[in-house]
Amino acid sequence: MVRELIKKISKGARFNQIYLQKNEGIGFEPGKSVVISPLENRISKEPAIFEYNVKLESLKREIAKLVFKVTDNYGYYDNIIITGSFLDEGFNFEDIDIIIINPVNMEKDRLKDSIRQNTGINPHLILIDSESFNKGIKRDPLFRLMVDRYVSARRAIFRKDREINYKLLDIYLLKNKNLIEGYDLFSIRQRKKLLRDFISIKLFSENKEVTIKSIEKEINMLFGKDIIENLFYYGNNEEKHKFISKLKKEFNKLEKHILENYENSQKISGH
Amino acid sequence: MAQNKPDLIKRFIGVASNIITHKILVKAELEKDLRNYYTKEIERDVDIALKYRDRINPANKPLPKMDSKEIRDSIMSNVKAELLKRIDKGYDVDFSKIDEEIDNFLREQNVD
Repeated sequence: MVRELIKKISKGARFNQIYLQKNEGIGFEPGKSVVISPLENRISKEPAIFEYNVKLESLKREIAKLVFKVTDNYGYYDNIIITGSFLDEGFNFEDIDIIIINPVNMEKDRLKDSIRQNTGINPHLILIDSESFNKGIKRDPLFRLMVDRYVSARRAIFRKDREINYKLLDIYLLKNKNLIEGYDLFSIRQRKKLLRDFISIKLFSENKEVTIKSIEKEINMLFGKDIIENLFYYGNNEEKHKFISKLKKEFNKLEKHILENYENSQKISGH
Repeated sequence: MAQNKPDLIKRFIGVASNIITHKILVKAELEKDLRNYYTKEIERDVDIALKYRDRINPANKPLPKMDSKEIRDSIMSNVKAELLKRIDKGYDVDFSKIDEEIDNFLREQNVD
């Protein structure tokens, strides 16, 4: 029983037309009113996905596409970037970091709920204009880390010039100090994140590249690969004190470096 | 691992001091639109402080005056030391908000 037909519009001298054969389908008899609309609007388009420095497992690709599709229903944007632990191998992630660049009329809470309902994963949404995002990449090591590896809805190229703002780095560093004070009560995942953030600030302030690889290399060099594996992969806390004492030393060194550089930058700029 | 009360109080003071110093600097030094990105993770640390607080007896009512005073004084001294270190390097920080920040924090944490 035919209820829907796909037809091509033919060109006429005065009117363009759609031809139907007699008795072609129910409801298409002469005199009946019909609705016509372009076919492209009816076919659900498969969202594009661009992977940078990452090869997603097929299930994760589908999740990422679903995020793009859901976001499409909540307004306009320039791009969607998915980053963070969701991109790590396996399914050991707590949430999914989603950055929406230049959103227009987007209701963050409703979108967040919808992504959660559709994917079953808790989204961490950042809605940001491209100017602030690029400013972040320029002067914030964590923004920089975000664009070291990501998937996006549209092709994106990020400029990686750098502007060191020591005051910002200081505030950022201070937030990581609680890894020393509250080490025991952070989860292993939180400890890893705080340590990674700390090292990214260190590398950035030393004018070094901030990538997942460079951070891992620096961590192993500073603390020793064995200690890191024992603490963060096997949950063996025997060498905790050695680690914390080294971390404290490195933290103080970095804080001193940042504050001194801030002071010098102020002198140079004449403040 | 079981921890004794003085050690728990010491940890609580350490975490609280960082949170409050961080909050004051974020408010004083960052442009408004940037603050959101930097205050989000404070919540995670507030949870850690709360976990320490929950292990300090009595957990479900404010601490005895002697303990709460010791905690308040230590946090005040730590925060001031951190801020002074920065003022010395050229930061412009308003000290008038410290009392308010500490009082709010200690109330939220059921210390005072």
